Amino acid sequence: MANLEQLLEQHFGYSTFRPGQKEVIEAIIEKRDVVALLPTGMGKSLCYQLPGYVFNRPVLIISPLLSLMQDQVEQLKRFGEKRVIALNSFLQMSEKRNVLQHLGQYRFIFTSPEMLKNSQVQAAFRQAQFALVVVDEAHCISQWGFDFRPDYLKITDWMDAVNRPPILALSATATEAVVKDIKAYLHMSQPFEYIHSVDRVNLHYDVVQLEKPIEKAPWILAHVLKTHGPGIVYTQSRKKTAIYTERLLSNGIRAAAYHAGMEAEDRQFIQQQFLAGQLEWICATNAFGMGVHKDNVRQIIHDHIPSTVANYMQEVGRAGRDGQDALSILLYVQKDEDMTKFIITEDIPQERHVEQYLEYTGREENPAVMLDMHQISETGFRVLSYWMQRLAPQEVQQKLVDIRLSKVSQVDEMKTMVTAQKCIREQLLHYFGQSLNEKPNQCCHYCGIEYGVILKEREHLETLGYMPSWGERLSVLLPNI
Amino acid sequence: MYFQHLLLQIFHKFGGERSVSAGFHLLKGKRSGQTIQDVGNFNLHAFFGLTPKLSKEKYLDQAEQLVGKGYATYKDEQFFILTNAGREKANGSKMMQFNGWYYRGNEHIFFKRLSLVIQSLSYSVQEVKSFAPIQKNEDIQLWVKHYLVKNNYKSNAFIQTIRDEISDSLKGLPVEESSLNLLLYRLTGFNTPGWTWEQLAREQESTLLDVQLAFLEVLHAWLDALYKGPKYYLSQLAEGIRIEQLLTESAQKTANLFHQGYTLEQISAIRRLKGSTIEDHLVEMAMSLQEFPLEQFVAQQDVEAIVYAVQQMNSKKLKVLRDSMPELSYFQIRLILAAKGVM
Ligand SMILES: Nc1ncnc2c1ncn2[C@@H]1O[C@H](COP(=O)(O)OP(=O)(O)OP(=O)(O)O)[C@@H](O)[C@H]1O
Ligand SMILES: [Mg+2]
Ligand SMILES: [Zn+2]
Repeated sequence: MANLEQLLEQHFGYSTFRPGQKEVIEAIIEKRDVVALLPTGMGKSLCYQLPGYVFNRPVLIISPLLSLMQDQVEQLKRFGEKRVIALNSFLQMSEKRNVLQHLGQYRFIFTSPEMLKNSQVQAAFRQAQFALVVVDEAHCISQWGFDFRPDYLKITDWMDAVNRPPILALSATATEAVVKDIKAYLHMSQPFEYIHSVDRVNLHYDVVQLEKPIEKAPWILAHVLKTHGPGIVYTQSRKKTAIYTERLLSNGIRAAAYHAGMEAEDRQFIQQQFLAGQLEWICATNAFGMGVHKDNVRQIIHDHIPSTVANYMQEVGRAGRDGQDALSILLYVQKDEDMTKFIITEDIPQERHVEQYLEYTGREENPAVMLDMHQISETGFRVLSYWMQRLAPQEVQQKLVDIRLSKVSQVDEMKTMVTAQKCIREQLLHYFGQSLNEKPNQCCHYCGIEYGVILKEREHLETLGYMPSWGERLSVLLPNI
Repeated sequence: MYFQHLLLQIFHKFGGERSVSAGFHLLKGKRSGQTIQDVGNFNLHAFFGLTPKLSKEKYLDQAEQLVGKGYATYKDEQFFILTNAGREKANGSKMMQFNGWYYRGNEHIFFKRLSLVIQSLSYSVQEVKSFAPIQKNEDIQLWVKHYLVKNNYKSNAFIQTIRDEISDSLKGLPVEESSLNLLLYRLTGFNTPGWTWEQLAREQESTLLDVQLAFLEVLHAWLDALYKGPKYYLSQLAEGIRIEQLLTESAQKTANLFHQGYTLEQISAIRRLKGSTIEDHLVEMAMSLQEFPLEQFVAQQDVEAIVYAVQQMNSKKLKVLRDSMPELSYFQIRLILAAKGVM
């Protein structure tokens, strides 16, 4: 067998493994199930990319988001890999059939939990003899994860219980309870676990308490005028991304909004501008992040209480991927958590939804009519119908109450972390069932923090205003050579 | 502002004979008999289907602003008419270069091809092999791949020629410089990211709707120019973009039977459709097909009489025309109006 370091160099151009990668890869080669928790940006993908060159059977990767899948396919193509395909609902029927008939010719096959419900796909996969099945962002499996995806609970249904390929579950942010769920739902047998400390030593955490919500925007502006980016302001609504952006722009700061309601091209332009260093700040909803690999993000600002500690970790994890110091600031006004609670419980079905569902099924009508009648949101219906097909109505009611309570209590955990008079870093680690060995300087607002030590002052950049004429731009795009 | 100019031009053509909604249906590209007929009668091909996603509220808000500025007014609730000031304004402004009827959204396919071609070339010139393609649609990606390979894209000759083609053909377009800027800033390349609509609107002190329309105008004008005077590499990108099939599906079936020599009554029987529906199809054909045999249905002198009456009475209202020529049927008058839309 080829030496792993050689393969690393040969296919990816890296000279050394990052912590955890080699251990995980070795376990995979021994055909063991593996749970790997590595912090955001540590290089989880490599844990399945490299084994692709060890085995001569394809690796199947199940990925929760289409955009993420796209991003990973492109990443592999950049490394020069041609035998990679995304098997998703965008493929045309005939193409799909063609791919399914020739699975063996690929090295990497990406797919979504939704695709795995299809019986043709299942049949083809059973035949395919994958070398490895990867579940990326595996925390989505847990019903306590941030976005309930019932389809995720069934992703191993097609597999033979005994004679199956090893499974690799990857996540950056899973608590002990979530890891337990992952192992159970994936039917893993005595998996090898690699759990890296979730501590990011170069991240420094501040909490700023303000009196009133209207103080947030001026605070952000004043801060951004003084300190060095690039940075991301995370907020909860599309409208607020626009409000903050406008405010920054009109004060000469290169900023842009980003949210899922924008055209696909516009979203890419923003990402490209940010990567190219043309933007100092992005004001975004949580749609921004996954798949954005910018190493030198220096700051993250939250103007709200994130819905879970895990989400908070994901979002602040965008900063400091280059290992240099980075600052995370959370602006807090009393009762901010109420807004978050409202937003995240909005979609959870209510008692009356269970009753409506029963009325429809009682009349032998398809309860999906509830969607057409706008009686329930899509997410809500997904959750409701999943449980209605599995539990008695009484139990479903209880389940929904539990889900609601659990979500609310996750917000409270986040809020407590922010408001408790304790070290944030310790609390973060504690949340993930780990303990802290050593505190870095400028640890957090509780331990003491001074921006001047962590951040440079803002350099004055020309505003984006200058727009060379179309002719000049054409010759920049297609220069003479 | 741009959008309001557009509305002025549209309602100038309607000549006060249509409601405010007629303009909305036109811009949305509604495929109903009435709207299609309006296109022909009032010669509104240019504006058909320019803003398929426009909301009625936004539209009405803009129309309201025209009223507020004294350029237009409602008459009897039913009609939206330009005031003298509005007509002057419409006459005074430059004719917009849209050609909605022939592109129907396909212009975006042209632009997507172009944007992926330019991005690919921009990276390839810098010898950067891989990049995240700006167009995610697989059909577009495949198309562009073929195009690049076929044209030997790595050669200097190709890159220089296509750049000159772009530059030469854009220079000749009767559109604003600022609109050409929009086009180039929606393109992206190595170390040269595109700009979002928001950024462009801000830069040009305009609105989203207006910059998107100005961009569309450039595409239409450009495509028209490329069809008139082909450029070797660029015209390939425009392949299949212009709609040759101008009839609705059902009208096309009627047309096929008509061309085989069946009478209207026979077609109605074969297709099990009402006679009036078949007549609608004929009107659609008269409007869209250059070689429509109008003389089979009306005598040449009647055609001229109607054309004259329209000019005299400055109206295309069927009732008014019918009253002036009682010997003609409504169907015949509609055919004439449709065939002679350009008046
Ligand atoms: N051994 C290595 N040496 C150098 N760079 C590496 C190594 N492994 C991975 N990388 C790089 O690190 C970056 C982040 O990797 P990756 O996307 O796999 O992170 P991740 O852990 O999946 O993060 P996320 O939680 O955001 O999904 C990539 O650009 C990757 O190429
Ligand atoms: Mg990842
Ligand atoms: Zn601390």
